[in-house]
Amino acid sequence: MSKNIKTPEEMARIKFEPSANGWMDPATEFRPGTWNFTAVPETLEYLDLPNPRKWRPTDDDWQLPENWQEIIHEGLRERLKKYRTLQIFMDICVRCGACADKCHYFIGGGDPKNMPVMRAELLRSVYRNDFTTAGKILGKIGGGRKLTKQVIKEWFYYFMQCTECRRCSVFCPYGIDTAEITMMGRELLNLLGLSIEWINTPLSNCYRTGNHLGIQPHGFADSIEFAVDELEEITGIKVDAPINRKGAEILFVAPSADYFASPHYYTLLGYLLLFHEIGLDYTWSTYASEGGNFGLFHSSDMMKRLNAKIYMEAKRLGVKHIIGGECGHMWRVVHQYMDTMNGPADFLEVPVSPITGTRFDNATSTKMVHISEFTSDLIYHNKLKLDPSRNDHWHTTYHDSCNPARAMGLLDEPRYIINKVCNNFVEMPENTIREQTFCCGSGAGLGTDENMETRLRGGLPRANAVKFVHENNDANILLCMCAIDKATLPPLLEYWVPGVEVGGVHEMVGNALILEGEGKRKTDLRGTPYPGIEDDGEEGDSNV
Amino acid sequence: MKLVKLLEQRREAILNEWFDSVAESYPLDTSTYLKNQADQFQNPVGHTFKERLPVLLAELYSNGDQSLLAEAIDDLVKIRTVQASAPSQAVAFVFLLKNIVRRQLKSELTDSRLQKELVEFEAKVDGLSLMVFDQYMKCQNKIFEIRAKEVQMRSAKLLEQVNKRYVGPVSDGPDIGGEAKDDSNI
Repeated sequence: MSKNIKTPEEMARIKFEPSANGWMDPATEFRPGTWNFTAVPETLEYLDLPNPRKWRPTDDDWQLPENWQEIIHEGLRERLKKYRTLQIFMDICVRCGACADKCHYFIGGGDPKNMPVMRAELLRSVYRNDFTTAGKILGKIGGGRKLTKQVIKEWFYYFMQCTECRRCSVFCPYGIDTAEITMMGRELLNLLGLSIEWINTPLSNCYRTGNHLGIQPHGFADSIEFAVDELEEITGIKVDAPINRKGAEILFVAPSADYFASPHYYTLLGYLLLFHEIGLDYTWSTYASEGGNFGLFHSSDMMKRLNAKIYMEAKRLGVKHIIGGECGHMWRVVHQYMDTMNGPADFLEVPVSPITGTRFDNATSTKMVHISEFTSDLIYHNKLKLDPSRNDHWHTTYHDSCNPARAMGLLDEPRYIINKVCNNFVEMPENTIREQTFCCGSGAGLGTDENMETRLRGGLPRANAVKFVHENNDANILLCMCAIDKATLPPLLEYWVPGVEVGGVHEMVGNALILEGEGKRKTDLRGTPYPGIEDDGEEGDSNV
Repeated sequence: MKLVKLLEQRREAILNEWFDSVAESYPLDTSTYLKNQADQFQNPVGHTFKERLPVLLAELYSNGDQSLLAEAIDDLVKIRTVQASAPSQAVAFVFLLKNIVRRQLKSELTDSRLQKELVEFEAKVDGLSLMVFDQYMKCQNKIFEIRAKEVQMRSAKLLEQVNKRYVGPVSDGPDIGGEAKDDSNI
């Protein structure tokens, strides 16, 4: 019998470990669809980052600096000293396995090195070998691994397969934040110039013009004007959308995708209608034209640089406080890191809603209120006239975007809003929402098209829960509060659950909001005609 | 149709072995998890195989519901497509069934009258494998399609604005924004 032809049993085998010697022996296969394009040299140069050059993960030689081991050792030593959490996370894990089956990449893909404990072990084994006495004596027997170029390749592969969603941390009895281990792993990789394009390009664009796509101030202003015109077509009302207005009470910062991507854009329309209707004294900014902070996916230095821009702009414009839009990681930065990086923002005032008088004590230090906190407070105090029947064509379900949910505990506010502005809402199964929410599988800079297979694997647990409510409850739209979700969930659902769209909470608010002086709406914010409304513009009677 | 009766009698044992074989096509830690985690939301891969393999087996020896078969193939292949590094790896799980049936019916298959039925059954397994391969290609094409579309959607509104401003109404040109508006996901 031929030795060249394998049996079906052999061919069916899904292999993630090219090495036959087990996980301790690092070997990584960079096959198409599983890795991200690397950062172009110009973006590293722009941000003064080391080792700018052209390279690909599939190259044998990654052109590391000559003293790369020294750089990593020094970098790790510095971070262990600087961050007590990292030192604790390196030492405390008892490998109980509570996190093992909680990562969406492991659940959807089956690669054991995507078990959070294993991913952390990739770094921990080097720490053990080179930084602990036991490790120095016992070496491999004690779970230590030498730092080799293969280890670096493996770090790059697996730390770019963690979306820093922190689902695993919810289950860790010691509270180890595996996302922070990934963050440290990525920081170390950056010291060698190992970063990806979809992190570095938005970073440098953001640093240069204030947003990920590098849209310049006049482009930003055009986008907002365009939205204002479109709203006039839909509602007959011309809303005011001030930009760079000094002396406004509030600075509003949204993720830039809200004004140039779809379906984010409909959320932008919702914000504009809301602020108009309540007569909010606010301003947009062309300098702080990005809520998203891709620095979180790169390094604490970058995170700090980008976060600082929002506060510098708040100071320049002389606002009292800030409201932030439907963004994901912006909120982890604001809620968990801003205060010790750039805060406290003493030059601002503790946010007080100018409409209801509610004081947001939770934002005492950061002075930044989440739009869903702000809107739910408005609704709670009956400050908005709402017609939820305008959303009757949607059977909604809600995806807790990882960062607002797990990093800042925004679990009930969005649900409160959705239930007030929509008549049809259904929850996904309990162990897939709220603190246990499954990630979109494409966060932390991994939402690119070249690694689509990895993303689809990682997004399977989320999509699987959506499929359940689609099949059982006719859910046809997945609402969320994160720009990355809005960009990456549509392709995910198109693959796994065709027939379910993606939208924002404030898109639903915008649909339901009854504006003073407006006529009957013929379409929703997407331009979809309401039932009973004829194409020629004649109005039916089923909608307001 | 003696074979059909035998397959029905041994249905559970065959399905258990088939499921175990598919689970064991993954690394050890993963296969243990796929077999033992009963929650369908914590273990969508294991759950899908557990639910869908029986539909395939039933269809191989009886005339079932065509749409159920298509749905089962779709659910299974979608998973294997994004996990496998080669088309063969994605579709090979069907072929595993041949040896499983032979093993499960080893003593009965000594009866030469069953051989003809077995050949027919195995031809159906081959046919199913080809259907699975077709579905694999559909999934691959879908992935290429959504990759291209995602790049468009990333700046859909920007392009629409530029078109409106500099080109005029977009109805005659590439209508990316219009598509975004009416058909953003399907």
